[in-house]
Amino acid sequence: MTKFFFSLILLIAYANVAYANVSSELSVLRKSVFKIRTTSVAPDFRRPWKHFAAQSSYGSGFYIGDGKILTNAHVVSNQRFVTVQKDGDPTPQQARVLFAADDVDLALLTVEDPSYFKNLSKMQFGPLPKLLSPVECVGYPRGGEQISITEGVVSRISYRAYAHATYYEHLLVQVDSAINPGNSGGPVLQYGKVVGVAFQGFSDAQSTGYIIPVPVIQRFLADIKDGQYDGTPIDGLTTQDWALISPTARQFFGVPGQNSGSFISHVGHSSFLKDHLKMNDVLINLDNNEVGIDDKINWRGERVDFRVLIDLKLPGESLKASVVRDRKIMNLTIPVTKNPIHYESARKFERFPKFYTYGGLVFSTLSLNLLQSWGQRWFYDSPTPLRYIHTYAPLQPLPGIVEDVVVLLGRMPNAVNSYVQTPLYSIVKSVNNQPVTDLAKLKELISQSQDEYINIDYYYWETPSLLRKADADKAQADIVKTYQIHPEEFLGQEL
Amino acid sequence: MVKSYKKIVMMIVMVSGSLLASCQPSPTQGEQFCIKLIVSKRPLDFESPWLTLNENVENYYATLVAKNRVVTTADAVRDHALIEAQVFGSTSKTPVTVEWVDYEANLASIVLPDSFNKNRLVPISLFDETPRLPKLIKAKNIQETTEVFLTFLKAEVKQTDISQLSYTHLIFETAQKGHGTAEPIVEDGQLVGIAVSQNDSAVTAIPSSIISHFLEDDFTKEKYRGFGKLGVFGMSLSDPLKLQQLGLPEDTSGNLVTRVLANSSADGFLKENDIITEIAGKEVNKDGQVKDSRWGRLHFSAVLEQYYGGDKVEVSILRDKKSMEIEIPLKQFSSNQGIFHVVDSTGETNYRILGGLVLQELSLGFLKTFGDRWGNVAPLNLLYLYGNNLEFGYTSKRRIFLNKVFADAGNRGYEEIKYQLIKSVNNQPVSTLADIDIAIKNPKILDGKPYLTFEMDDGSGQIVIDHAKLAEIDERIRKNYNLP
Repeated sequence: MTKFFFSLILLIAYANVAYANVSSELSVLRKSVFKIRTTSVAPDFRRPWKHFAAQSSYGSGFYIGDGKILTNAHVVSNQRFVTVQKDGDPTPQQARVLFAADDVDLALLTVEDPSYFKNLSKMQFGPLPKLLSPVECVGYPRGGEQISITEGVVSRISYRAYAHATYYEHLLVQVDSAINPGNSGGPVLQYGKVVGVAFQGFSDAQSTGYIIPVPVIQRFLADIKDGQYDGTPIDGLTTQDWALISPTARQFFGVPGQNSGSFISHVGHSSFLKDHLKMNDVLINLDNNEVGIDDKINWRGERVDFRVLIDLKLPGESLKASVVRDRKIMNLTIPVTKNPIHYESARKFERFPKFYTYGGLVFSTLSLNLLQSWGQRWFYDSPTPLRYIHTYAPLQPLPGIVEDVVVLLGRMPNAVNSYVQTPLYSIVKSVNNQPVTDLAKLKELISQSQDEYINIDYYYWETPSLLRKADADKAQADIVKTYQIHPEEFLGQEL
Repeated sequence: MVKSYKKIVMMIVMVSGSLLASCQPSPTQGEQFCIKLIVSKRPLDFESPWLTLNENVENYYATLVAKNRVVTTADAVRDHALIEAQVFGSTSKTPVTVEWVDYEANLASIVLPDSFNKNRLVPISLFDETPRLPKLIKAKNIQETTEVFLTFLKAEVKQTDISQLSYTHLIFETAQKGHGTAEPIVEDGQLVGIAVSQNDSAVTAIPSSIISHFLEDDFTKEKYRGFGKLGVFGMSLSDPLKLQQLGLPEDTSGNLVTRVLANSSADGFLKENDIITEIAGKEVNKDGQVKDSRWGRLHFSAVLEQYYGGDKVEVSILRDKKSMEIEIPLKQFSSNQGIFHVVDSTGETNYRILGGLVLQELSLGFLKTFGDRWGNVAPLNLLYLYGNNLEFGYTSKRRIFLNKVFADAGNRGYEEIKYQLIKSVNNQPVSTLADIDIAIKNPKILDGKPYLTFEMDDGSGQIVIDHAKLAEIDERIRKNYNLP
């Protein structure tokens, strides 16, 4: 089933927290939990060189040793200036973001002066908490002056999408109504050890909180050891729910037993599994865990989606999988590799959306952020070709498209483009009959063209755009100045 | 927009003050050309195609165009279970039968039986000029009709309300609301057109030229020739750059062909990048318009409205800078020739229920079951296909989709599958229900056991049913879910 994620979840940078009993040592917490203040500037995906007004927000973070403070990625996303402040310390200290892993909503900060971390207690990580076991959430709700601690119990362990990036699913621990989760980035403790990072709440279930559990945190910390964050492996698998519940289907596909088997209906082109698993394979075992007809495994005492095993892998590790293919059992050892370049289905947090302007035409790339500019009901209200291509990108609806789906975003009126009739949000297919595979290719085809004309064709037979190269080249400076387009373009390069 | 007759009557009561002031006694007093149609409808239910939606009664107008023949819209007669005709001032209702419907042109013809009291009825002749003082005829009360003065705005080639094809429409303006149920629009006692919809103050009508084309046709299945359509997409040549790029002088006029639909009239005659400069001797301007003596500038396809399917039209083109004359035999088209059924003229929806799987061919009617916002909220995979309905040209290449599954022990695990496109059955590609009927006769045999399999579009997976138990499952589901 293709997973859609409707973001009912709210990030909880300002969640309400009731005060409760304190069982952890307050003096230790005071030395290791920080208040984080972020000034952020979010880009406007409809006018990619523009930004919305700067905003201030608060979050929490905690010291994990080696001069590093762990927090949520969303606490520092689109940041321009970040400070951290200890409980009881009057002076906020400027901090620097070392890593921000948007897919798992985790970030690491540091401050330049190493002496700042003297006398701080490094917090220790514990295990995955058990259902019904007690936890304490620590943080600075609403950016309050004092540290806040609340109590509750673990109510569910599941595998689902994190609200920050809104697409990728990971292991998630739900804590119950007796406590509120504290504010984003704060530690969640059990018997004095960190079992998770508080990070999101539900808009329609007020006292339900979610925490990022330790296995996800530890995978993040291991991933960045080489100085680079690779991200969680994208399995790219589409499975058909309950396909193997019927004895008829089990006999047909030759799957032994009664309860095992996840039917793989598609393997995405950006998946590291694509050379190993095939459409119509039945996955029956993964790393010595029986995969059920419910797509779940028994794992650390809980029943969770088998994808958790893939999600926690690092590049260089491997997976052992047993599948039934053509009614025969096959045992496979699959190396986990870095994710290839692919269309990003999740929200992006780059400084600028990629864009390119030429002859007053503004081109950008399709992204969830762009679609979300149609509002909360973007899934229904954004143009059908765009939402279709976004939704079915893992199944590759546009042949040859790897990463960028190039979209005509705007026309800045100028004499060179006054006859351009192409409807906005049309998807670029080619320039002078040469296929446009990404935004850089569009720029290359236009800027290096020796032709007198630039003829841009679009998918779905939308009206082509025609410009005279000499005129458009000449008008560029004037257009950029008139409409205050700076930078003139952004193709993903370092700034 | 279909508005019920009752509502219209109520509105007249509400605005009667202004009406009385603006209406003069009808010149046809004592003689009428306009009758009422009371149409009992049973709309198709595309969600559960073995059922119909709740029956409802709608009122329309029909105009007497010959001794015993009235014309109304296809919209008026679609989905009807019973049509009754009534003259103003009479209380008797006479059942009538539809003689012929053209769902593309949105017109229908009804023959009045001998039993119908035609005493006061006089046929109206057609008026095919620019109207100066157009008046819309509608019910004043159950006794008589009244006239609403309109202002003629323009003629425009646009899509009809019920098909995907475009025809010339007349646009009028009036401050009054609630028109568009086939009311006749007249000038000097002649028929200018019949009203099909109203949007704010603009009333849209089918012009008499299209009505007479329809009426002069042969109303038999074998001989009806309908309207010919070219089947090309075009682009304006108003951009001087485009002409320069094509190496043509700036004063070149005509419409640039950007796409020729497969199997259309133009297929094999016109090519991409041809410039249509003249059609039937009329010059085509840079915006693809011709000059019409009655209506001013109109899209060149309006010229084709004088032709029948099978007629030939002279088209002058520029191809590779050379002028050419081509004679194109026009084919009659149906908007059902894409992958969707756009208009359902058969009065029934086809489906199959196999192993509890409800299978249907793609139809616009199904998308519209998602309500007024169907274009936003209908299933994305189906909506996307609808947006590319003519991707394959006029090939009538259908697609099958699985609407829903009736849960049963025989189809466990598939209960929640819905709105999925079916690629093949038993690995045999299917595009129509007839293909399915053939495919299910060839089950897959594995270890001596027969299976029925449905392969869904990439990413959606497969459905496997025990073929040996199919009859048993179908019978159980039929009883359990009260199916015919």
